[in-house]
Amino acid sequence: MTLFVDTSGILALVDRDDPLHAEVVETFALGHAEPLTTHAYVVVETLAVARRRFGTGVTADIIDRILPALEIAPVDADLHAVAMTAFREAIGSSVSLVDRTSFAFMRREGLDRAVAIDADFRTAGFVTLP
Amino acid sequence: MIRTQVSLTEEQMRRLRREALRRHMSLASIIRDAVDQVVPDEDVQRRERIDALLAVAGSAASGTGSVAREHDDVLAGYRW
Repeated sequence: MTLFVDTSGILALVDRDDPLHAEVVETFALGHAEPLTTHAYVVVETLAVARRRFGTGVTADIIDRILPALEIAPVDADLHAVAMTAFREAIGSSVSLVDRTSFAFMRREGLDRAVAIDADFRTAGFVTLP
Repeated sequence: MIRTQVSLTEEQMRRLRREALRRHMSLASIIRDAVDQVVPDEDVQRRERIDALLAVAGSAASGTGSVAREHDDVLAGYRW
């Protein structure tokens, strides 16, 4: 079973001050046996936040050591359109376009579990780890 | 171990014997190494990549511990 990886999961993995850091590390260790996947928008978002809050060294670590362990899917036109429609229909919601893309991606790929510290995933009907 | 039979050209066999002599290994060991290089074990590769990932876990210290939860707010107002 493949695990989806959200921006919040990667950020909590590198941030030793995150209250769930240890649990997130254990969750990523599941990747020894199960593929970890994400999509390109999560990568864009993660690198933007990491460079802003953690600096260039940690951002380079994410590029060099973390992303190679993930299967990174491109966001194709169909996926983008589905996510954009969902985002437009609930434009007043706090759910980001990146999260809308993640939900659409997970449904399309038949994934039900996400490494995420984000209640929006649970609200959308997915299981979050840790 | 599974026994199998393969056909090699004379030139391939010559190179194989030469490499086996150079490395003090059997012909079968050289062939097994070559198979691992051409068709890597995906499970082994995945485990190695996850180990590399875990090695940089905790490399950042936000001080607040809230970056993951509030990453949307981090992006707000930041040109990215």
